[in-house]
Amino acid sequence: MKKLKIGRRDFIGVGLAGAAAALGYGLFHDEAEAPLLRPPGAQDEEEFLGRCLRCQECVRACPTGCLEPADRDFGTSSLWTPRFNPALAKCDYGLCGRACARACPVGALCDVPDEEVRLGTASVNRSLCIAWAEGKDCLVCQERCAYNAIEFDERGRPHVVSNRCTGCGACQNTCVTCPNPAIVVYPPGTVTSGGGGRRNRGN
Amino acid sequence: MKRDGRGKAHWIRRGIQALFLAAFIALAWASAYPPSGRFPESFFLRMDPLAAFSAVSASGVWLYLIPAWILLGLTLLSGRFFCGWICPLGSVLEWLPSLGNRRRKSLEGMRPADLAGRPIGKGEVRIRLKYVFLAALLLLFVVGINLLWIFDPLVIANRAVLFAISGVVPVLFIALLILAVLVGPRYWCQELCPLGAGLSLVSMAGSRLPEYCSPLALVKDKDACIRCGACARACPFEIIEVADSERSGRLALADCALCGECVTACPVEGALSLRSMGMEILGSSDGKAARGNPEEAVI
Repeated sequence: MKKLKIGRRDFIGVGLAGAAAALGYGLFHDEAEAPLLRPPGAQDEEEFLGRCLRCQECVRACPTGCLEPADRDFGTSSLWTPRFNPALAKCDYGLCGRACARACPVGALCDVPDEEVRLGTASVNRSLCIAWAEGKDCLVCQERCAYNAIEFDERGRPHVVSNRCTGCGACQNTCVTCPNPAIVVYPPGTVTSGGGGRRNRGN
Repeated sequence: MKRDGRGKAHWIRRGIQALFLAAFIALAWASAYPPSGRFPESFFLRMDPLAAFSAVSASGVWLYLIPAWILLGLTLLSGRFFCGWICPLGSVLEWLPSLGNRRRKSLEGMRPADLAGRPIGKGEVRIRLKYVFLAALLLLFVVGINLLWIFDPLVIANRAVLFAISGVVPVLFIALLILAVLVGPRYWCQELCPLGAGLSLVSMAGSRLPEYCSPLALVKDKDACIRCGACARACPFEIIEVADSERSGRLALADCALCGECVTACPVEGALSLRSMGMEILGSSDGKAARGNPEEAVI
């Protein structure tokens, strides 16, 4: 009798666990509502979310303060995960010794070689950029770029050389059209390679 | 705060809890740039077996489990000492004043005769939510969803500290504080915490080990016990059954956090003790000379 009782309880428990897991799956398997920039050396998004504890160690460790916990705009599946936001600061991954990856207790960020770091790709919004839209002389993004990833055409308009751009965000952080910067870093894979990306074609 | 007759041992444990909490906060604080290189700032998180399991299941790299074995191994030998002595979240919850303490209420006003051999809480068919949470979490690890950010006490505490430093409101942490005040100081630890559930399972696996191989063990002598129920009333985890008074030797209760509150509360010399490798480190007679008649200590 007693055994039967325990058996039934265990059965209900397993059922509940299954239901809880299904609920968790339903709530959290969705993709991020807007793709977001990750700290340098992040695993690919799926593995990153599988590992990230959202403990905020990397956000605390970052010397430039370019990381912040993602808010609800990026969906519950990404809530409080670290987001690289170039509006806050640029990422100095070559200088800080990859403080975020060292701080990560579960290897969601790893210490990949500097040459392999790719936070995203910058892209110029030609309707905002004063060199493109108003024909003014502006060199700020090119001057701040440490990777020589911005070149000017014969009329002094900036183009991003996407295979040199690491997505460090220095250009976006410094762009004079603040608060709506004309040059913005997009997550890897969201800007097509070649030239300045899709949004810049057709000119 | 008044000593309310809890004795030195109670305050020694609180002191140790406070030290670990301070270390936890100091490490979180120190994780800002530049890294010291001398100690791992995320030490507590790396020792967390659930975090290690999530990293292993996401990456297939078994190395992540190595620091967790320390905690798992000690838990196998000693039970959930981590919860009673180290866990920063558990400490904070335990220190809160609480409106509800179900066990204490249910035992209030009972006479020793009523309590004798009374199997409180035993035989109840009850599904322990923490085991459900643990199982669901482990299942979700397999499909690549990691919900430790909601359920792991160390992650919640770590984020609470770092959020507080940067001026963000740690919502989840505050929710747990409110739960503790409303329902019971250790309700989270006892009924909901999946890390606690895992440690309980490991503790059960080691429950047959004799007291002399355990760094911290609760030991009981049923011949000395007068079945007064003081231990059950004092237990912050609300888990000591008066029926346990029929047992002797190492009381390896799955959910026991080895906090020693029962030992301090016990009015009879030699009935309960905390022992390390078989040596008594806290006895029920300690500092009790002026406590008076044991029968009266019940009320």
